[in-house]
Amino acid sequence: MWLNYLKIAFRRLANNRIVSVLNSLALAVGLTVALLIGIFITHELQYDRWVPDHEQVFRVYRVWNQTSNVVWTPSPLAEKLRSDYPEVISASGLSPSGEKLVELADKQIFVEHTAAVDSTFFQVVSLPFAAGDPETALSDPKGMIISTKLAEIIFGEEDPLGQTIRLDGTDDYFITGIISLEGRNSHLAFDLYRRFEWYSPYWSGNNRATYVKVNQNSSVEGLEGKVTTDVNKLVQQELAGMNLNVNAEDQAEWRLQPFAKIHLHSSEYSWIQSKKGNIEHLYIFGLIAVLVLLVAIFNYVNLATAQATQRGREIGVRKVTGAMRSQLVSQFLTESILIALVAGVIAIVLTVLLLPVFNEVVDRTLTLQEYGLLGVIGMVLLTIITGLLAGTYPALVISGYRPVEVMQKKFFHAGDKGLFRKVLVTSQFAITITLLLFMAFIYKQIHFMNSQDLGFDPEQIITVPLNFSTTNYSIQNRKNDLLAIPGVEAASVSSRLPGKLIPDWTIRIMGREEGYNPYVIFTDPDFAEVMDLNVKEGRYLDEEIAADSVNNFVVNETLVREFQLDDPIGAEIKFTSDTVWGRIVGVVEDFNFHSLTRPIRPLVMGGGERKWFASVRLNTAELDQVLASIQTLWQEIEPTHPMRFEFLDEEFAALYEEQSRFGNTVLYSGLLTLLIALLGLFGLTMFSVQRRVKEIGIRKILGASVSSIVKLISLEFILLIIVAFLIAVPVSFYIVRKWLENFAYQTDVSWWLFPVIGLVIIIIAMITASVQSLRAANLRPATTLRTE
Amino acid sequence: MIALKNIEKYYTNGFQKTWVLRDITTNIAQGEFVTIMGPSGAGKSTLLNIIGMLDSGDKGEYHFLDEPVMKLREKRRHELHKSYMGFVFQAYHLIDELTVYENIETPLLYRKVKRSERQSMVAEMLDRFGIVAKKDLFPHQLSGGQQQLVGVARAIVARPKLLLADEPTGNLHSAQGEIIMDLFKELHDEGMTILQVTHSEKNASYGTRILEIEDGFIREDYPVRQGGLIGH
Ligand SMILES: Nc1ncnc2c1ncn2[C@@H]1O[C@H](COP(=O)(O)OP(=O)(O)O)[C@@H](O)[C@H]1O
Ligand SMILES: [Mg+2]
Repeated sequence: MWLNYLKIAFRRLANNRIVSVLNSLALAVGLTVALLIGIFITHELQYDRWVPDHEQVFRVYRVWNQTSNVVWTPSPLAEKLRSDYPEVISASGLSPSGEKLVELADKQIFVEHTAAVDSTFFQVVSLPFAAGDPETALSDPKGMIISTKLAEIIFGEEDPLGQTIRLDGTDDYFITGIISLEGRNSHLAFDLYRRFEWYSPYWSGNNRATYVKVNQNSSVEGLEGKVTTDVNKLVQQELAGMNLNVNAEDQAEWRLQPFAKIHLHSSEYSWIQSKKGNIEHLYIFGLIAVLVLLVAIFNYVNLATAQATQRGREIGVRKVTGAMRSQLVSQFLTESILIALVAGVIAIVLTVLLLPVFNEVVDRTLTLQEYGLLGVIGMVLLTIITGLLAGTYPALVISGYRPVEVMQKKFFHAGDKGLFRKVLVTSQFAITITLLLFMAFIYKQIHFMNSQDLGFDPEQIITVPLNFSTTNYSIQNRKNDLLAIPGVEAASVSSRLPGKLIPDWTIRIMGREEGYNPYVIFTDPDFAEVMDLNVKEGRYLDEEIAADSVNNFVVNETLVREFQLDDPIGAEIKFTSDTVWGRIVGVVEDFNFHSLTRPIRPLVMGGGERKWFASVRLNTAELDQVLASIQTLWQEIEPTHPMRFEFLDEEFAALYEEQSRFGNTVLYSGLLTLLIALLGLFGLTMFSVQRRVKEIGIRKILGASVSSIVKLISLEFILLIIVAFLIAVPVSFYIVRKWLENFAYQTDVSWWLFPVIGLVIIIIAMITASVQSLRAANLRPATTLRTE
Repeated sequence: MIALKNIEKYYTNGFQKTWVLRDITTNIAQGEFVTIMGPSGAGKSTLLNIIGMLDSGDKGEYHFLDEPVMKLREKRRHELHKSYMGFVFQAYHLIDELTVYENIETPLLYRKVKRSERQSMVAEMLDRFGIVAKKDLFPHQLSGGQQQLVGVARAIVARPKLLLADEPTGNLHSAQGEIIMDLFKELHDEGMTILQVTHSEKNASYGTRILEIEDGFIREDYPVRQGGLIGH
């Protein structure tokens, strides 16, 4: 029987080539989207789940006021967890240490992802070692663990173990361990681990993440509670010892985040984590995959039921010769599954072709190999389920025909007048238009953010990360040489830059009990000139005034407003840990030192010695020449490291990379959905023309014009698309408003984008629908009438 | 074999009922070869379809092999239909995507006949109807007469007791029609009960009895005398 079903299915495929192509192409596109997104989602879900004992490992974080989650913890925490709590097996600290220059003989490599850890870190987190002993690898302070990837780059075939390499041009380390993730993924994707070089004994400090491994079955909430009580007490004591008030801000909830959740559930956590995942995006992507696949399935349903008239006779014959309805249903399902399988094969080819593009969109390096047999099984299952979903409704409808009705053709109309089909076409286009409208507003928002006046001028500024705390002085010494280069307007060093992670510090205001937490940037006096900041009141820091490099401060307008400083100039403030008070000497106009997703917050700028970035304002058309001169000079400023620079405006734009990638995903899925819907529309008009070929012939004989016939066929569909548009408008309006809530600065939801997108889609649909009707309208009536 | 009592069939169009069959009462015994005649629209096909269980009457009683068809469950009806009946249509109604061989084989598939048995049964049909050479052709590659041969072969391959034929020669020219009618005669001689609808008096002469229908009533019911047609 199955053989018979298959045979007829194959022959139908071959005989109805256009429909088969339309169907399998649409399903293939739908499956491709589902497959790509499916791969991405499984990839994301697999992060860290393979690490041995991961269920027992947690990362400590703090919650303030139920809102902000902070992963940074004080240095002594790991030690306390180890010694004071019986359920803790071990605990250890980790801090990303940025980019490092690694040297071996004449090789110089910048390693982007490096970390500092406690020597016991790999007893807490059991990352697999390809060589070396995780227990003892970091016993020696000069030991170093690298990834197999880095080992290959530096040493090639050689055995790296025991080899010595130089870090940042100063210190030598010897390799004691190689970590191999073997193609699996972890949020701990560092290529280089060393021991911490420093330790801060303060409980009020926060400078590293703390990972903790607990006994099986121990109560996590219990531990969280105990730690919260104990540590908050320690913080209190410490602050009291410094004669400081303790306010609510210093008392956090201490919590434990499961190891395997770190990758996906940390988007709201302040922490440096490359390729951070985002569970919300995963949901949205999953929803998009389902929608696109649904649109493709609707296509099949539409084309299959539209074809039903043709198949009525076959059904009648089969029933008369003894077929039971269930057998007919199996036959139709065999057909739909077969088409789905053909589509599945095409989808795999498309997926292979599109994977590189998709990887860029989602910022991953996904491969199909990663999934192996399980992936194949998943794909086959997905395909079969798609085939079943697509085939069930048409199978039920068509197999329900009564032989007497379908075989005496004179009484047979394909039943339902196609109401269901109309609903499906409308939902297809409603989904498509919603996605495209959403996409339009994502881009509009990104464009809005990039063209917004930031309150400082990021253009023509290059920024250079500094590798040593002493570089600050080298630059101050050579600043005149730097400024002497034609095309260089101004140069400055600062602790942080707009758009980078900027820390907040606790300050005190003279005469007030409570502490405040503004963001803090330490700068030299030239910072205002480089960034083109507007000083509103008082002045910016001045080189000539000694106190300006120590404890005089400049603040922004938001700080004045939010901290309610009636007379800011001259107001006395200080950092909690400082002993002497300083003064506010100027107020600058607000500028966006964070991305526009966040509102402007209070900011303090002061002298201080911690400077990690140089920024240089250029004014030149000969960029290459100026850059070359700066680079030459830089060899004297930091001889150990090749100079690396970025443009501040590009860095700022890069802050919206996640949004851009998200926008791209929505754009591509929107376009693919449109493609599928158009394929379906094309097929439906084709059937409509086939069914009405005689009517069209007669109308032509009676003198109908080509355009009136095109209208006759297309109008019905165009009306459906207009209905779809009317549904899509409120839905996308709601989604867009919801999405814009993620941004402190929002573009307007301008009404004109709706009709523009709607019109574009209606025109494209009209063209698609016209292809078939034009063809029919141009046939000579003699030909069409003869076929009846 | 077939007992019809006061069978009625009507269609409701709005509030108005149009009767297609009224008060049909008749018996057909095993081994008869009955011809239904009458003008177009008289209800011949409807009656045939009701007897063949493709359609059902709105009133009356229908016993097939002593089973009360109109009171049976769908499943049992389907079983009766499947095990006892074969259908031949005016428009042949072969399945376009299947070859001659496969078309004939279809009823056997639905009756779960074993593969080897199927092969021999289909081969027997092909042989008997002289279409062995055509077995791998598709319907559109055959002439009308050949298609109807396949149609008959398909109708009887599963060895039904009752063969129902609705104007089987209506689309054929006379020579082709004759071949089909000769075949029916042969089948009848072998003991098959046959019920055919036709407009042709000549075709009717192959049978044993004629039911004339007009406006849904049985107007006349009379035997065919061997060798000639009884006038009236
Ligand atoms: N589904 C239907 N709805 C309404 N009228 C029908 C339907 N089927 C058949 N009829 C009517 O029933 C009558 C008998 O039809 P039919 O049995 O096909 O006649 P015959 O085969 O004798 O030409 C016709 O007048 C036809 O119009
Ligand atoms: Mg008829």
